[in-house]
Parts: sequence; structure tokens; C-alpha cells
Amino acid sequence: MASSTDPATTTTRAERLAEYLERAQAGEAGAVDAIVRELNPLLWHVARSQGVPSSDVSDVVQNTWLELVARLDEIRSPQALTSWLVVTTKREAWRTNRKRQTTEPSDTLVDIVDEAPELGTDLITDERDRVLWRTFQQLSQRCRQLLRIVAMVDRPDYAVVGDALGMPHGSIGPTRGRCLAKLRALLLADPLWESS
Amino acid sequence: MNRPDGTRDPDDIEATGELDGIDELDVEILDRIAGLHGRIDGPPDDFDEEMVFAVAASELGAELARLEEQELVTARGSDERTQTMSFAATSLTILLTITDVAGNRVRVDGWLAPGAGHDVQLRSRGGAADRRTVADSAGRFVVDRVRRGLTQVVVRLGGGSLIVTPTFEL
Repeated sequence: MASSTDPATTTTRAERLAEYLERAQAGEAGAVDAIVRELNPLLWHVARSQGVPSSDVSDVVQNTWLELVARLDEIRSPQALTSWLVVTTKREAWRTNRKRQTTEPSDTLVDIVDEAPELGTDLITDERDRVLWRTFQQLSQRCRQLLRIVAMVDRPDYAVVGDALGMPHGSIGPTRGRCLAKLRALLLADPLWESS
Repeated sequence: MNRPDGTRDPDDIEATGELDGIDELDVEILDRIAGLHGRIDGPPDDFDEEMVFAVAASELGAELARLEEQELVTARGSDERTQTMSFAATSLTILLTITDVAGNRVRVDGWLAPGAGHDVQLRSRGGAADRRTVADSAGRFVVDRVRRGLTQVVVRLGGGSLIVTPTFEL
């Protein structure tokens, strides 16, 4: 794969996606695989942030990818691609969650809000990471969902992803955004963050 | 994320807020959030390969048959298990009954509704054990001694259009 013309090593993600999208729309199967590899981790985190248990994420995300291949000709730009994938994954996640709610006893519904595992901070070795993780858990669920997803994309896509998740403008980019500003303020007020 | 920016259209920069107050600390915070979630709750190692396998069966205009129901029945007093699965697309329903047979293999009894003699493929990861058959005019088909593993059903309708299920573990 690695050659001087390999877009994976020479360009921004938006440029790579633009090229993969064009090649995929021209019928090159390998280009679809490249799109999958580029955005698959993002979709994993979208599904998890919507409360899909890890064991069901494959089902949710592959529905998204299968739908994409079927409708590839409708996608006009890399931003539209990312946005479409996030919206579709969120919809597929809801569909799965709803089905689980109707087929499983109600005491398992706690899964629905399990968007990230509870974690002993002793598993995190870096001190700054440890402070960040603890502080991150103090944010609202919506802020945690949003920042988790936004952290997976490049800056030009912050607003695109915020829109796709149905977050109000101002929750992230074009300004720093409420959620990030809150987290930043909490961290700056924490002596452990400053000293590490 | 901290990737090198090429030159961009100034309108694009304004629209996406790159001239905003996001500074190095914000970038560090977001990078750490991405890193932590990736390590603590990231995708399994073969997640990419699973998705790449699934999409290889699809094509432009294909229809997704979503998993609707799944049930495992174990016969009383024996080890014999039967699994039923149903998948629904707008134009076709696929019902599968999966029964254990000798040699760690399974027999797949399928029914397509509305019934017609469509081409049916059972794709298996790796491709070595792909199986093909044609349904009878009532939409019934049988594939015996199917190897266990990640599998996907692909139905080619008479008119040429394609129906694909998600992958599932046989």
C-alpha cells in the first residue's frame, strides 16, 4: 500500500476521502474498503455513544456500510459522506436499541445509558489522562457523547458532526463550544492537571 | 486532531471555524479523549476486516435485508440445537432454519417470500466455503453441511437486483 502516491500518507483526511469517494463512485471496490478503514473507528464510537452494547456494534455499523454502498451515488462530498455515515449510524443504533428494549426484560435497560464503561482510573497510567478521564465523567451525557465523537474527526468536520448528531449550534465549533469550554475550565481549575 | 493542514479555500476555513479560539490545549484535550476512548472502549482488532467482508457483497442499488428475529431452540434431552433467523427487505423476506449436523457443520433450510426461483449465495469469510444454490418456485432452498463461521446471505432476484443480509455467526 505504501508508495509515494498513496493518499493515506500524503494528505489530509478530507482530501483522502474525496479521492476514495471519487474512485468508489467510479466502481473501484478497493476504494470502498479504504473509506471503511478511514471512518470505521468513528462509527464504532458513534454507536457506542448511543448506548449500543459492544457486542451489537458490528450489526449496527455494517448496516450503515451496506446502506452506503447501495446509495453511494447520492453522496456529493467528503463532508456529506461523514455526515451521512454519522446520521445513518445513529439511526441504526436507535433501531437496534428499540428492538432490544422490546425483546429483553426491563432490568437490562441499564445498557441503554452505558455509553462508556466505568473504569478504574488505575488502568490509566498517564497522570494527565487520568485527570482528564475523571473530569470528563463530570460532564453531562450529551457533552460526553459529543466530545467523544468530535475527538475522532478532523477540525473541519467538528460542525458537520455536531449537526449530524443533532447538537445545537455552539455546542462545538465554530466557536470552541460549550462542552469543550466546560471541560477546559474544569481542567484548568484542577491543580493535578496543571502540575502533571 | 493534529494533522498537517494543506491550503484551503478561505470561505471553507471561515465556515468550519478554523479561525476560532481553538488552541493547542483544546487540541491536546481532544486528542487525549480520542486516545482514551480508543484504548478503553475501542473497536476490536478485526472490526475493519468484518466490515470490509460485509460490504464486498453489496453493490449500487442493492437492498439491505435487516435481521428481524432470531431464536435458538434446544431440544429437550438432546444436544441438538435449531436456530431460526428472519431478515426483511422491502421486497423480500428471508427465513432461515439452521440445524447442527455432524462434523461441526450446519444445515440451512431457507425460504424466500414472496417465493420464486432466485439465486442464493451463502458467503463465508475467506471465501473458501462459499455455497450457491437456486430456490425452487415456492422460494425454498436447502444448503447442507455448511461450515460454521461468519456468513452472509446474498439473493439475486430474477430481475437482477440484489438483496444482502448483514453478516452473522453460523
